[in-house]
Amino acid sequence: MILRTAAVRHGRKAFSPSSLRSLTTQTTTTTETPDAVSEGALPPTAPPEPANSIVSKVTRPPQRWSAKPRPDKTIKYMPADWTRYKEQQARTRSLGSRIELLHVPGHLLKNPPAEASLEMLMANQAHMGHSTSLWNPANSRYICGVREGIHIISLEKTAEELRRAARVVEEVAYYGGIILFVGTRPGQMPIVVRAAELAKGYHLFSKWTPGTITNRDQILGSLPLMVVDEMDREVDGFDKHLLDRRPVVPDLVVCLNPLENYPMLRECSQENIPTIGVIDTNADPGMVTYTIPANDDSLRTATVIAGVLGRAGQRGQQRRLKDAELGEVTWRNPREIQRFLEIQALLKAAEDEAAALKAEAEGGGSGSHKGDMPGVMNKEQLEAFQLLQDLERERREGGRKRRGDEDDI
Amino acid sequence: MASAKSVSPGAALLRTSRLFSLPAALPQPRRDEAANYVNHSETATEPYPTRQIIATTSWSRRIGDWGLKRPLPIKTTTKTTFPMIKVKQVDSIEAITDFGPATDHGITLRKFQEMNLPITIPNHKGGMNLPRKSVFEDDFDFTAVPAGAAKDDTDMRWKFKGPWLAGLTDGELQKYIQKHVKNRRPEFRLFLKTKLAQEMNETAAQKAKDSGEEAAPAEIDASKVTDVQLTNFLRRLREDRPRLYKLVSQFLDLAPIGPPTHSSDMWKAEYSTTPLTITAGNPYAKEGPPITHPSAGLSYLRTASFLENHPFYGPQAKHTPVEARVVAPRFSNGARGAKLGVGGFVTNVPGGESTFNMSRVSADIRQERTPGLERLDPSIKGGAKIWVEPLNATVNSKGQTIITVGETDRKAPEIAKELAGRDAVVEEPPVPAQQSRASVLQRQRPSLGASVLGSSRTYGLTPGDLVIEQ
Repeated sequence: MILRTAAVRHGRKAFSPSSLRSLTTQTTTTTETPDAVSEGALPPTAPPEPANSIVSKVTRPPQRWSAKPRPDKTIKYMPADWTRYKEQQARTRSLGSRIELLHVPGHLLKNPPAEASLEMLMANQAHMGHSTSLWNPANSRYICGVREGIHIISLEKTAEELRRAARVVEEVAYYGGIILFVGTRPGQMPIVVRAAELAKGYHLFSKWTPGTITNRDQILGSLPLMVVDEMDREVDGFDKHLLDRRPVVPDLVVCLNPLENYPMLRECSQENIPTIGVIDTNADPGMVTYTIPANDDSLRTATVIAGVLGRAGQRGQQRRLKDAELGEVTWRNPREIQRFLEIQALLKAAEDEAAALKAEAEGGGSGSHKGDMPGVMNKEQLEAFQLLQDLERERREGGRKRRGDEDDI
Repeated sequence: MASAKSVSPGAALLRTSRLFSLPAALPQPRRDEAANYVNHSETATEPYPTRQIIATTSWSRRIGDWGLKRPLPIKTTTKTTFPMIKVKQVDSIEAITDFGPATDHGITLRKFQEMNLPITIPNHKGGMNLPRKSVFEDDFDFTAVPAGAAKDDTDMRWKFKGPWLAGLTDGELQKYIQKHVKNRRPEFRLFLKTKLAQEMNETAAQKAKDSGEEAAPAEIDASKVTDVQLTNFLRRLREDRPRLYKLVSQFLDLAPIGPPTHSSDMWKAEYSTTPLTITAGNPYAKEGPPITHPSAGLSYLRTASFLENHPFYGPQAKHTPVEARVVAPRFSNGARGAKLGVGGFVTNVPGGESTFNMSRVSADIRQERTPGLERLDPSIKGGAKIWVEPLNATVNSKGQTIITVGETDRKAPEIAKELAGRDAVVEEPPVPAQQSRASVLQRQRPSLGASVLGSSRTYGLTPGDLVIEQ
């Protein structure tokens, strides 16, 4: 789901709108399973009853990071002493000294921590603020003191605010929101890409095109969209809807360098999009919704902070998908989709009625059931289907209580 | 106690951070004004480093990570063989990290440590090459004065609370008096009263002893000393300048000042009768106390009295010599004499009767034996170099490192060159077949090196083993 190619090729299109999940605080349980859609039980062109609707959202089709195919690395021939070499390697592997504490420089990027300890923040230079002459007095609540001519950011404050921001990211991911990670300084590319990869979000490491949110119809209007279900699978049958669909906007923006991305944060605040930002001592904490007071110049600090937030997003996504598997969808159909489905149902009903009237007029009453419409379940079929679905859910849960049932005990 | 004060865990952690453990920069070395005028250079290496050198691992250097606020520019920090920087400002008003290379002092330190030199206390007994004492000897290595120690014991200290008066300018002295001395008058009067009470007690006890009294008279406290007695004591002190100076320097903890000496004093009775090996008084009295610990952290060796062992030639009489660069030949340098550069430090040529001071031979022979030392020889590729043996080093009160070098023998440089893989030592001729047993034994002794306690033969090595593949 990470759109990367576009970002590399077209800086202007780097930000990719992907879905139209609405951020709600309520969870809705539907009786529809994805199996019904995938097995073709519900034809895409025929919208079901509104009570029985597909949970669907709009997103961008998934693309690989690199469009270039990977080189074929199959070995053409076996080296002469390969077997002998491997044997010797296996035999001598246990010999020699064992290094216990090994410094692996890129480990934070590969294995981001779930939570940042004070020691980790300090070791990664999170406490180093700017020169005392450059400070923004609004940051005085985060500053612990002065050393070597720079302000020292309180590690407790950083850890506290980072924990809060991680919680925000996790819940946004849980409710199916779109998260955008922004880091446009040199060297921040792998950091935002990794965070977006973990959180199943999106990333921006090149210039923010001004107006990508406020003027999105012009800037992103030509980009493709797709509708996905609660398991993030693409749902067909919305082509007509997608034609007159507005481009999507993120539900949460994480910015690693707010100073350079002031226009973006301004647009976010205009559109009521919450933002999380790394605020150094020279930045204005009012620029973002959730501040993380830390050093924004160091790449290691950015790695830790983006890693923690990415991990939080990953937790949220995992929770969301687990619940979706159990039939609990944490988000509602967007209003536009809901209306589209309703209109489609009305249209279909009118068409069917017309067809039935026509058939009646022509044939003078056949033996078929009156309420039957091709491709749509009648009442008995629907009841049987729901029963089957309940049985299937029982089987999947393995006798475990559902979350909603706990209150009954 | 500041450290016992309870702080937040983050602040306690920050105290252990690497940024906080960077020592404060030392003041810039004071340059000699006269020398400044003639050879002033902004880029010249300072006599001592003033900032901590920072290094990083090669992987981190490639991404510019030096543990500072921001990654440093890769272009400037990766194009050096030895990555060492010194940080002037972690963050400046231009929002950049102000840093510069630190290879000058870093590599000098490595070269110095390679020479295995101990730092000795300064010796002002003329040009005589007497054995010197290490700064780590118990007599001189004061880092803290024991509580009950008498003042006389601490006279060899290198650090004092007060200044070294001989090194103060008039303005500095006036400022010191205004700031630190004037407001301590009542304290000084009390100090004098204590001294006076002590003196009166001693006098009374002596008097009682002389008159044959058995019981010692009751001791007087400082509070019992009247103002009249103190005024009389002050009057006496004004007449007795040495004693007044002693009391004042004791009170203000002034650094000791050496007695005014002249080269003609060397031949006075007290100088000629006392052995030169006994150092009288504080060794820093003449030139002022050092600005750091006298070792300056350069070397922690206590002595150079060790024997080097060579795997093939056995123990060596001389230490591994080093190649000194002729910085200034004798002819063009006037009265200052020829100067050598040893491991980054400029030093004088060895004194006394040596190859460097051949007075009885002609200039041509001198030029032949020590090429480039007498006068500049542009034909020598890379400049003239001479092998010398570093003997000892001293850090003077200005923070300059003074290395003393001596003459080495003919063989030591050859062995050093061979060890470094440059030239092989010419092998000894093969032993003839017909010879007596005694001559065989004599032959088996190593021709190079001074001792026969151990040799390559006992290690099972042959000369061929030492030939280094190029």
